[in-house]
Amino acid sequence: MPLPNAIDVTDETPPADAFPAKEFFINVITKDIGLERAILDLVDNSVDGARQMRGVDPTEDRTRPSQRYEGLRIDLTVSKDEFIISDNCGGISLDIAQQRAFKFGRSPLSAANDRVPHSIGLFGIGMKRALFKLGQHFRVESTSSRSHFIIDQDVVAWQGRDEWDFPFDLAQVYDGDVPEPSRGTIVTVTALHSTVRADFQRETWRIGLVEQLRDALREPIARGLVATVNGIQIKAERPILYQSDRIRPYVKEFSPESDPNVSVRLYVGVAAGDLDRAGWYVFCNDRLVIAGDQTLLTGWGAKEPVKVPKYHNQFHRFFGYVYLDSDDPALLPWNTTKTGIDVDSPLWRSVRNDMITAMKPVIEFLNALRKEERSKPADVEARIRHKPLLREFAIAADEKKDLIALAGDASRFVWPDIPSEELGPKEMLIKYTRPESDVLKAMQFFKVDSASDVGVRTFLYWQRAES
Amino acid sequence: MSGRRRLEQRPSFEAFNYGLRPAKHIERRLMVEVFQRLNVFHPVTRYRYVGMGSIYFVDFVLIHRLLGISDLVSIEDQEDPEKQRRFSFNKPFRSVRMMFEKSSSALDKLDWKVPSIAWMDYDGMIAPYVFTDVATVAALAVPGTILAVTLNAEQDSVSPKESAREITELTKFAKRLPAGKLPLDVTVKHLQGWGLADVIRRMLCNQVIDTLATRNGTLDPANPMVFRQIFNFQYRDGARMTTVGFLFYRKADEPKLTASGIEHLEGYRSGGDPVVIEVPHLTHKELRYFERQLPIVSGQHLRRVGVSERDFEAYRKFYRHYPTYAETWV
Repeated sequence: MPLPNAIDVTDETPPADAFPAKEFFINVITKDIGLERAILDLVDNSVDGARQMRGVDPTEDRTRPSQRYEGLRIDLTVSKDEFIISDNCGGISLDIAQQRAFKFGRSPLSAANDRVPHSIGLFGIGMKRALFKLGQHFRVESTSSRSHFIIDQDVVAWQGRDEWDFPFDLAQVYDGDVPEPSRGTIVTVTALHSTVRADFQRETWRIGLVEQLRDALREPIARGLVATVNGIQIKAERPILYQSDRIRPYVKEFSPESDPNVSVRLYVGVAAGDLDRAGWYVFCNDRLVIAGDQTLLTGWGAKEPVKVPKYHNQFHRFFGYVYLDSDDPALLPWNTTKTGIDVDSPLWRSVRNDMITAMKPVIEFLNALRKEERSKPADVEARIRHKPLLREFAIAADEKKDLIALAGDASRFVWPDIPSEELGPKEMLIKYTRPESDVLKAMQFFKVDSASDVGVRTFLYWQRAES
Repeated sequence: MSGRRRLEQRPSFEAFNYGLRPAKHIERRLMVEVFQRLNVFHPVTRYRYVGMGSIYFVDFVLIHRLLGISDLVSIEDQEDPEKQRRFSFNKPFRSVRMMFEKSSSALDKLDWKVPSIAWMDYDGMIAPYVFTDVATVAALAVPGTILAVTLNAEQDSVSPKESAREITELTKFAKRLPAGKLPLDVTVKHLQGWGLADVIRRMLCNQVIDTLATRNGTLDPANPMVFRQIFNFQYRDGARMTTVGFLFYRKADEPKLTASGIEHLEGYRSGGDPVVIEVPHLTHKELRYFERQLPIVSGQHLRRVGVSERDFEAYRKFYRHYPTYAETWV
C-alpha cells in the first residue's frame, strides 16, 4: 500500500525531552540510603567544617588526642514535628552555597584545590539527599567568616517550578571577619515524611541513631567535640587495647609507596570480650566506616598470606583498629555512601594483607586462652595456679588498661610464652555415673557435699591405700 | 518454687503472714478485677490463661474460680522428670496443662489466635529473653489479649573492687539488657529506689511499640493494632517487684475499652504513676478495729489508735483485697 505524503518538520521539531523529572530524581537519590545514614551525612558535613576551622594532624599521638575541637558542638533535635542539626563548626560560605553546596553532584570544575583537606564530604550529594529524605520543607541558615545566608524552600513548590535552583531568602556579606564562635550552620526540616515521623517517635529508633552517631563521632568526641541528641550528650569511649609487660599489642604505622599521601595505622590486640563488638574497626579520615567486622572483608577466614580461621565466639576478645588518613579523601578506599569499603582498591587489598598477618598471633593467643579456660583441674587451688594465661590477661586488663598505645611491638602481637612446667602436670578427665544412693552415702562418708568432690576423694583414697 | 522465699516464723501478734506474700495477693486480686471486664472483647470464660504457677498454682486457682476459665497453661522450666512429677501432682484442676520448657520456647508454641491472659511472673531480673517473650506475644496476640510481666526491680550492688574499675550500677544493669534498649536519658540516679522499676516499664513499652510498628506494616493503616498499658504495680514482700501489663486491641475497638470501665478500676494504670502496694504491720486487734470503720464516709473521724496515718492509709487503700488467715486447732 502506498504511504501518505510526508511533510518534513525536522527543523520545527524541538529535541526529544530528556530532562530529568524532579520527582524521579528525588526518589532515586533518597531510596538508596537509610534514614540514619542520611542524618550521618549531615553530621559529616559539620565535622568537615570543624576540620577546616581547626585543622587536623594525622601524625598526632592517638593515646593523647589533642582537644583541638574543644568549644565546637553539633546539636541534633529529632521530634515528630521537626529535624534540626545545628553546629558552630565554621559555616558554609555564600560562594560555596551559591556555586556548589546545593548542586546535585560535584562539577568537575571544582578542582581538588577546593577540597577540604582530610574531609569526609566527597561526592556532593549528602546534604540534598538528606533534606529530601527527611521532609517536604527545609531551611538552611549559615554564617561563615565573611557571609550569612538563608535558604528556605518548600519542596513541593520547588518541584512545581522548571528551574533547579534554590533562591536565597537572605544573603549578606560582612566587611570584617565574623568571630569563630558565631560561625555555623542550622539545618531545619519540617513537614516530615510520615515514615520519618514514625521513626523519630520511637525511643528505640533514637537509641539506634545515637549508637551510630557514637561510632561515627568517636574520634572527634575524643578531641573535644560535643554532640547532643535532644539535649542528651553523646559519650564515646576511646578504643582501648590491653597491655602489660607480657602482653603487647601490634602497632604499625606507615605510608604506602604507591600512595605517599595516605597514612595507615594499625593497632591489633585484645580487650574485654564482647560478642557483638569484637572484630575489626576501619576508620577513613577518622570517620568509622566498618565496625566490629567479623567477616572475610577484614580477613577472617582468609587463606593467604597466612591462614586465619573464620570468626568464632572464642575470638570475642579480639580488637583491631585501622586508621586510614589522607588530605585527599578520594584516595581512601571507601564506597560512595561511606558505609563500606571499596574491596577492589589496591590500597585496601594491601592493607588487608597486613591486617591478616597481624591477626595471626592474636588468634593463637586467644586459642591458648580458650583451652586454658576450658580445662578443669579437679583441685580448686590447681585451677588458679594452672591458668597463667588468664592471669596475664587479667593483669593486662587491670594494671595497664591503656589507650591504643604506641608502646606496642611493631613486628607482632606479643603474648606470654608460658613454659610447660608452669602449666602444671598433664591432666586427664575422669567421668562416670553411679547410683544416687551410693553417691549420697559416699558424700556422708567423706563429709563433702558435691558429687565431683566424691570423685576426687575416692581417687585419693585409692592412691593413699596403694602407695 | 525456688528456695528464694522462706516462710518467716510469724510473731504471734502480727496480723499478716509476710511469708505468704500479702502484697502479691493484693496485686493478684486487683488484676483479676480488671480481667473480669474483658467480656467486652470476648466472653471471659472462653479466654485462655497462661501463667507460671509453680507448685502452688495460686493464680490458677483464683483465675479458674473467679473467672471460670478452664483453658489453663502453666509454664515451668524444669527438665528433670522426677521434679516434673511434683508439678503435675499439684495441679489444682484437671484442665491445667503443664509445659515444661523455657518461657520463650513455650510462648512460641502456643496458638495466639486464642484470646489470652498471659501473666509472665518471672520473679527474676530482667534479661534478653523477657524482651523476646514480650515481642512474641505482641506480634501474635489477637485483640483483647492481656500480657502482664512481673520482674524483680532491685538494683545490682557494686563492690568497691568493681567501683575501682569504673563499673557502676548502671553498667551492670546495661549488661543485663540486649543492645539498644536502655533509654538514652537513664543515669545511675534513675535506677535508685523504685526508679529501676520505671525504667523496666519504659523499656517493655518500647518493645511493644516496636513490635506493633512492624506488625502494623501489613495491617489496614486505618485500623492498626494498638496497645494500652494497664498495669504498673510496685510492691515488696521481700525484694522490690514490679508488674507491667498491656492490653492489645485494634484501634476500632477503642469504644469497647472505654465501655469496659477498666480505666476506673483501682488496679489500672496507663502511665508512669504506679499502684504502690504496701502492707503495714498491724496486730489482729487493730485489723478488726479498722475494718469496722471502713468504708470511710466523708466527715468521719478515724480512730487510728496510735497507728501512723501512713500505715492506716496503706491499709485503707486495699482493705477489700487483704488475705484473711485462719488459725485452727490440730
